[in-house]
Amino acid sequence: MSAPLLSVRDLTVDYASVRRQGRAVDGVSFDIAPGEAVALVGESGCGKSTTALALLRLLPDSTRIGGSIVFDGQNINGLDEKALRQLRGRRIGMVFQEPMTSLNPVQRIGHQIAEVLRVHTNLGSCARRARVLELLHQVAIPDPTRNIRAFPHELSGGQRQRVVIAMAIAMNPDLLIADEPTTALDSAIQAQILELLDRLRRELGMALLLISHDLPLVEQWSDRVIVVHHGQVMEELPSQQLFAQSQHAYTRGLINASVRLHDDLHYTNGRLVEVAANVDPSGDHSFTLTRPPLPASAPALTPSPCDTSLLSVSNISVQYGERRVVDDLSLRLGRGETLGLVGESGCGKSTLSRTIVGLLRPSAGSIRLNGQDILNSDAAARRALRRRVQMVFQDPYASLNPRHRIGELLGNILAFHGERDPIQRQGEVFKVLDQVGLPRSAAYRWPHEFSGGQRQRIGIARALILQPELILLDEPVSALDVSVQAQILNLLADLKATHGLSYIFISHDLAIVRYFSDRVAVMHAGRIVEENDARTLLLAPTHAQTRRLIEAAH
Amino acid sequence: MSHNPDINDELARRALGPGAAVANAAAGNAEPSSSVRRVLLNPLVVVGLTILSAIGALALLAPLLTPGDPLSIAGPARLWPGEIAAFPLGTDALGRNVLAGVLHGARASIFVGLSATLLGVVIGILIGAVAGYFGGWVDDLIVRFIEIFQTIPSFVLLVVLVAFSGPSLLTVILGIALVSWDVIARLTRSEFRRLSAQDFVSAARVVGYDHSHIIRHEILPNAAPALIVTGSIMVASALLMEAALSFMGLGDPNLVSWGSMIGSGRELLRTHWYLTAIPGGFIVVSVLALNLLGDGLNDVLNPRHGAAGQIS
Repeated sequence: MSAPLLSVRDLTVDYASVRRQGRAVDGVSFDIAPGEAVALVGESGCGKSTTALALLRLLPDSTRIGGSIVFDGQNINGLDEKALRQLRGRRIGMVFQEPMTSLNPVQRIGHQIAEVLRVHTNLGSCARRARVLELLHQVAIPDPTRNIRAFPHELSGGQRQRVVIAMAIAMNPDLLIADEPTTALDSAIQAQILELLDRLRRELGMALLLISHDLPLVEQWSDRVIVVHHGQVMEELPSQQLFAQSQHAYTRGLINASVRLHDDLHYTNGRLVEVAANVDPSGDHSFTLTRPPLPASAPALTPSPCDTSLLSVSNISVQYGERRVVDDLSLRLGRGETLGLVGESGCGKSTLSRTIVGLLRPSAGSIRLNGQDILNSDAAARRALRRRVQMVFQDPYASLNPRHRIGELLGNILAFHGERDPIQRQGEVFKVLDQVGLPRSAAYRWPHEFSGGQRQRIGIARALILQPELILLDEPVSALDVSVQAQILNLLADLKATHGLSYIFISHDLAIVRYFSDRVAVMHAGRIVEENDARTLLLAPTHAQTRRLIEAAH
Repeated sequence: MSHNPDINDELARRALGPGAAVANAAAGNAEPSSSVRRVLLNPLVVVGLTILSAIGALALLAPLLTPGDPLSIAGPARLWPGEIAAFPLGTDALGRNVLAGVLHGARASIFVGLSATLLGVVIGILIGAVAGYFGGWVDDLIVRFIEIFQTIPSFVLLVVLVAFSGPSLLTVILGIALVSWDVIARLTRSEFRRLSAQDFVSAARVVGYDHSHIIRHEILPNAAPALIVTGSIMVASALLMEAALSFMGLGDPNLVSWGSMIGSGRELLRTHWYLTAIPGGFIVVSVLALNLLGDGLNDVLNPRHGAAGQIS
């Protein structure tokens, strides 16, 4: 390996603000050679983003940075603000997760890219415009001469991220730092953006530091992987060896906790591996991997036949103004069945689920639960039916009211539905907290005191407390870390077995849908375009849209 | 916030369920106890509250400190402050005790300020909540209605209202409430619109809560910080409106207020300036204190200003 472009030694970052305190990065060392693609991978809070920000000294002033960061012979940690500005944007480019927030919504994208050139070069306005067009062409924005005048909101999410990348590479940097560049995007778009980054890296001979939580993604798009946990490097190895030859218990845990498309694992034949970090009194972390056993009373493997269907949705359409989001759609769900619902964002799957739980009213069609029409029954009957259908939301932060303690949050539901006795309510609340694996003391605490995974358990408890028959799971794990995903999916599988629940499981992640569903329906443009049992659908897709989704997932 | 230390107290005190939630809402709003502590640690709030409680105490003790009718003639006219020990702030053109006027005036000013604001806030929240929560044509209609009030110069409207219905304590309060509810209605509407779109409100609908429960228990506690902040500033403007009305002679003729004292001292401004300066100073200090309080509350409570009510 030639002399490294970037050499990080014993990097430590300590936060000391009111909001955040403590050590976020704890002795991280790594090198990046010119033109190399290195990935920092780890779960949220592991310090990977802080590391990236420390490289450009973009952290707040109250933060203390230790160790050395040598970029092309210069120690960044000792530079003044003026010298740093020379580095940022010129020698080191950066791409953030959310393209909408990195772009100014009231300026045309051409102007924003030109601004980078105006700051760092003395090109005239014609030369700048020529360079902007060249960059737009380079990042494959369609019709650059027209789109140079586009505002960010006129572009799709993927195109916006391309614009951000164009800004980052405008000065031909030697190093591009990409912090979760595709996490906010659809899986099909993700692959395109990563392909673009990879192509640019090779064409421009720049090095890439890719920061991600996604193991399969970094395996495919980087040369070397650095696994980070609690601010320390757990393991560093070539990407091709990540899945086959990783040694570290934490890496193995992450690998086993994540589901991949070609794994032959199904919730009926095995649970996912859970990785637990234990901190011993001396402060060292150790990791234990456990695969929870299947419940003793294994659920019936074949769901009941369709004539005893729990839910039947017939020919429903949902409109927002003129736009028809769900279009004459029908589906059935057997008792005890899990139906996976997949599709790109905007295909109408969330609208469909919101219609089934009664948050939206369809403009046509009927929804029957146990043969009873939900939409056309009287108010009292409808309320009774509604209780039988509950929902778990995607965002565990937005879906809990910050101003209720968990005990109130859950207890109020029972009280509203007629449980007058507070002792009885408390018993029910404790019972449901037990079921979702939270301590009973959780009842006296506020939502913000819990982690994302714990909050999602609270969301599940809220859905369970009315003892429903059907729960709609709207991307219940997509906002969670891999290891937490495994725990939540295991919990949901156990709850299904013990309570005889039926699920509609909405996800954009085919691998998880494949693991968790009995039957899968593919949605596209407001309709179900293909429907089959999970394994058959993925092995022998018939519809073009299904094939597109499967391709993007590989 | 770290783990709640007095969890056993909480265990004993708080039964699970709406009883607890109602008790909570009555006590202010259902929010973590630490935010009350944070409010009381804010220097702006401390200064504002100290000044206001001092004025409030003087107002409450007015009948004890200066017994009798403040409008009756108590001594020689036009005494300068300190000229005679019995009248530490002097007397006015008719020989009325200025100290008695200021103290009793505080009662009227504060009473009008608080009750007009309270009324305006209640009307504003009701109307704004309906508009923001239900949206659609109800919202359109209410927004047009609010705009009518916003486009009419509010003080002119107030003067017309009070002059028309005859000046009295009640009409002054009603008038001020009527020209100030639109501010809180707009704020409530926008807060309710924002909060209604959040997942926790969807979740509340899925578990079957009706509209009234969702508005009162899910949305209102989250909108409360912004409303409290605006409410505290509204008290200050109500106080100023009352003073302006009284200055113009449109206050309750049977009550002394800071504004009416300024109004009657106005003619002697060149020779006896203290007759306007003393009640004027009280108005300035009160309004300043209310604004400090509002700014302090805003720093602590307003989630859109960084140091949020909830930090995850």
